Order: sequence, then C-alpha cells, then structure tokens
Amino acid sequence: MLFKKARERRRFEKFYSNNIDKIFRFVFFRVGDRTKAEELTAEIFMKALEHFGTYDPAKSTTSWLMTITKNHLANYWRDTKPMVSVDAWLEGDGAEEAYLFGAAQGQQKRDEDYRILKELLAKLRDDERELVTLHYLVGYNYTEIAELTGQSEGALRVTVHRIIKKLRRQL
Amino acid sequence: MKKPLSLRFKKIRRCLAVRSAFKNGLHNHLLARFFARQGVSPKWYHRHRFQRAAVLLAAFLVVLSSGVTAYAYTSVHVTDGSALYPIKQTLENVEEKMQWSPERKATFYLKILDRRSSELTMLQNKNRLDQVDSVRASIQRIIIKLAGVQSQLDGREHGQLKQRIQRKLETLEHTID
Repeated sequence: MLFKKARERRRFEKFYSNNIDKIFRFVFFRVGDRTKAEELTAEIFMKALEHFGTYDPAKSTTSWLMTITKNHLANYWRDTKPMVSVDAWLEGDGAEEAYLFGAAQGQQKRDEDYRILKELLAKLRDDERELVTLHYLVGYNYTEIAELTGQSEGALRVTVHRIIKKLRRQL
Repeated sequence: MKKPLSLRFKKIRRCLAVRSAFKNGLHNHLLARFFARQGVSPKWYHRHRFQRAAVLLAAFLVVLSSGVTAYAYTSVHVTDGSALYPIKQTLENVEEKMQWSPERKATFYLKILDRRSSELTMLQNKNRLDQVDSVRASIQRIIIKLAGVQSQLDGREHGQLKQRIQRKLETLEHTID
C-alpha cells in the first residue's frame, strides 16, 4: 500500500516536471501576464492533483492536462474579462513584452527578434499560428501536438514545415 | 546575415521560462497537498526514498560481487599477479578446509590440479613465462598434498580413485617437465 503511494508520488512528480513549463507558456500566451499566468498555472496543477488518482495513466497526459487547462481558462474568461488574449497580444502595444522581457530591456537585438516574430505570426491563419505557437513557443513535440489536435504526427510535421517555409519567405 | 527563424523562436521561448522560485514553490505546495490527501507523513517518503536507494545499491553490489567472484573462481585467466587472484586463492582455501574425508580431499585436489594444468597451458600459449614458474610451484605443492591423502585411502574401497590419482600424477610429471 505504502509502496503504491510512493509510486503514485513519483508518477505525479514526473508529470509535474514534464508539464509545468509547457502549461505556463501556454497560459502566458493566453493571458499575456506573467503573474496571472503563474496564478492560473498553479490552479491548473491543483486541479490536476485532485483528479490524479482517478486519471488513467494509459491515456495521454498531454491531452488530459490540456483539457483541464482549457476548461480552467474558459472559466477564468467567463468570470473575468481577459486583459490580453492571443490576438490582443499580437496586436498589443508591447506593454506586456516590456514586463516580460524586463531583464532584456535595452537589448535591441532581442526586442527586434520579438517584434519580427510577432509580425510574422500575425500574418498566419489562426490554426497555423496555433501549431507554430504550440511547437516553437510552448514547447510541445509533434507527438504531443498530434494527441492534442487529433491529427497524425506525419501530417503535422509536413504542415508545420510548410508554415515555417512560408514564414522564412516573409522574413 | 539573417538569423535563423528557429533561433529566434528558441530565444523567445527561453525568455518565457517559468521562474524557478515559482516552480519550486508550487512543487512543494503540491507535494504537501499530496501528502495530506494520501494521509502519509512526508518523513515516510524521504525515508522510503533512502531505503529504496540503499536496497538497490546493495542488490547491485551483491550481483556485482557474486559475478566477479564466480569469474575469479572459474576462469583460467585469473592467475598469480592478477587482481582477482587473492579471491580465487581464498575460495580454494575455504573449499579445501571444507573437505573432511581423505576421499573428498583427493577429489578436490584432482579438480584443482586440472585447473592449474589448464592455467599452465594457457600461460605457456600466451608466452607469459614469468608466471609459469609460480603455477608449476603451486602444482607441486598440490601433488605433495595429494600424495599424502593417497596414502590414507583404503586400497579396496577406493581402488578407482587411487588409479585416477596415479594417472593424474603420471600425466603431470610430463607436463611439469
């Protein structure tokens, strides 16, 4: 019994370390505010912990956690009007970037990178932008994105490759 | 020169890393809730983690040492000068002490003589002449012991064994010469 509990704990720790960065980045790109993103990420993991005992490990952790995240964000937006959405982030005046890249202020090169990427992403369709964001900015691999979107891994690779080619041409 | 797109993405992603203070704080908070839900003291987990590591380490050492010991005992390549030779000698000495009757002692010495002969052949084939003398001296010591045991054996009861010893001694005479 105790060994089972210890195994459960190790499983949760592994689950936490594999997902914390990705969920934080995903939430950040939705709310555009680091403090709010941390607060929501903590709440999401609390929810995940509550249901961790009933969760089937044979199923994909990525889509399970993403469902919790999306539901939690939907509740958050229902209760409070979002300060910054993805689109708002793309169209924003850069105030949140100044906060986010506080340490990098004055570093023109990094600001330039950020501005260019933002402009490029704004030119993409919503579904394309979602894929690029999930893979390159949030950090999900193709297998995880395939689990999230229900598409095949091969098809995703081809799609993302085409999007990146398109972005390169515009660079 | 234009900077690659993937590099630009990587830089942005690095800037978006979770603060380690937040990450560790949330980790500790979640663990505390986890312990509370499980109704187990956090101390137990720490002790369990240590015990598990200790058991794994002990098991690994047992497997490793038994493997090394088995190799040292059976291999003809472990000879005087080899790092594992003391293990081989100790095991053989213990085994010798465990042979109570003259008959069992004789059988044991015959086995050891076979082993030393194989070692001698291997050393001669490999041209390691510096170690040949030591193996030869060892064979001679065992022959003396075997001759002592042979005299204690009853002729009628252990006729076959005495014949084996005689044949072995004759063969070894040629080998040593």
